[in-house]
Amino acid sequence: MNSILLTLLNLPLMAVFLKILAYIDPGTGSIVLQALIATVVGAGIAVKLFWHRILKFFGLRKSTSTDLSEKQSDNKK
Amino acid sequence: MAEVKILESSFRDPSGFLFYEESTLLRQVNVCYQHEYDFLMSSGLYTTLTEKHLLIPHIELPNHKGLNDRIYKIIEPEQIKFVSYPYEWSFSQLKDAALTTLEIQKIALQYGMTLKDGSAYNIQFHKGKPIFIDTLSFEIYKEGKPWDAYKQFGQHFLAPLALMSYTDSRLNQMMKLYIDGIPIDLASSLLPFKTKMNFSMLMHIHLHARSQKKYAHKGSVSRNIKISKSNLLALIYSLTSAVKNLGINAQNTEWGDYYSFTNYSDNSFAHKKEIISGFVANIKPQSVWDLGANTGEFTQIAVQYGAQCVAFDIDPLAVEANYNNVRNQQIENMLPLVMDLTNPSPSIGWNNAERMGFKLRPSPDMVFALALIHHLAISNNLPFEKIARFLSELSEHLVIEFVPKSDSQVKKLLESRRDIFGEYHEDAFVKEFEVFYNIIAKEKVMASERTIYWMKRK
Repeated sequence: MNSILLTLLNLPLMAVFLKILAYIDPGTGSIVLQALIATVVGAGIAVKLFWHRILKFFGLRKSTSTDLSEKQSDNKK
Repeated sequence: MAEVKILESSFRDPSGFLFYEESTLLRQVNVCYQHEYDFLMSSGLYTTLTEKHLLIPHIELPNHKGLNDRIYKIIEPEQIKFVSYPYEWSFSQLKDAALTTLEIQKIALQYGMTLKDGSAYNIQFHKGKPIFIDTLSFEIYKEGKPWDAYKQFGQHFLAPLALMSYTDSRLNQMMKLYIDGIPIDLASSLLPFKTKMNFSMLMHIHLHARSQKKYAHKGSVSRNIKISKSNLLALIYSLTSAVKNLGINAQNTEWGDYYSFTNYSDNSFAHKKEIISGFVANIKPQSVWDLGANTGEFTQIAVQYGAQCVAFDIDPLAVEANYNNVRNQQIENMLPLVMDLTNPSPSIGWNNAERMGFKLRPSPDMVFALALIHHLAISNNLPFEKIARFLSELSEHLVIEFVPKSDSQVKKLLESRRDIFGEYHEDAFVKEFEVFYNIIAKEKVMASERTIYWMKRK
């Protein structure tokens, strides 16, 4: 009985939660892994941007762009 | 009352569905998707994506009553001429489709939305380029939310591309076996060891597979995981760079340099073009399928006449070369596709009806079957009667080349096997095809053993 009551009380909350869930299964392992990659790559890009700013500060780089994607393609070259 | 048919593939996403009304494809947007749809349209994201030709444009039909009471709106998207699937694409087609998906996700994040799926079936080739067709794939982005479609993107794009790149260019055929893309653990086990030395492959495939295994029954773990927007963009950049760095070797295949070693002289090659051109000018087809098109050399004739052309070939590298040409020349009316005519794409998915088989696609006005008959009749032991019946079910007009046994290409096919093809001669060919067709015209190709026929279905 208690569990039914608890479920009823939680229904609005569950409705909100269900709405947030994706219609495809994102996969637990895939979420854990993407968080890891996002952090590693995100940190890498942050370091590169920081390094770029230092070089610019000392006048060793001329570019003034701070766009992430341009930086990425710059770095690949 | 107009005839209505709901698409069999349109059941996964509760946001809406697709249906045909007569021959026009329409989409019902359900009321549960109202907020997202309005945001897509009002945020500027729809305008940006359609201006960049990344998302299919649509118009709203305000007077349409919809098919049920869940309706919010009915929209009519610009119609796709020919629907194709990832297992029919060459490497660069799949790669361009992947990059289009990632580009859309990057732009969507800038507008406060995100893609809720990463399916390759959301991409079609339209006017020579990949375009995103699922207008209901966008949801409002909430800061900290991981990308739900990451796994699906891996299965539909990264896994097949990596397998085609590192293992074998034919491996996107595995997309036929797995309706939701190639499982990451399967890709991981099929990729060579050296891919573990590559950061992108190590992370997005090998460690991804390990992580999936480790957390297989620990659903609650992911609920508290948050990824900042800048890190999510970094993930998209990482995937983009992984896809961009993949390529295929231009290894020689049976067709790779076909035109350079046929028995065609320059004169007979030009004459063959002239004959076909004459037939096309007479028929004036709106749509043409070139079966066994190789790199699309002869398909170009119909392309120049303005017909919507699909150039099928069994060799993924010939299709790759054709697609690269289509892309470089910005040809809008030719779609190169990989197709084995002896085993054409079946209908697959739920109830065998989600993805259409080869013969269920809208038929063309005209079919080219040039330098094809000997491959079907000799390499695949098909009697002329079966070939004629198959072709006659496809189109009204047929332009077919007969290649006799005295031709060097046929001799080559018979070199290593017993000649059991006593019936393989031009008289038998004509007799069997005349059961299904009237022969309108025929012309011998100058300085060759071959004859080209124009036939019209009875």
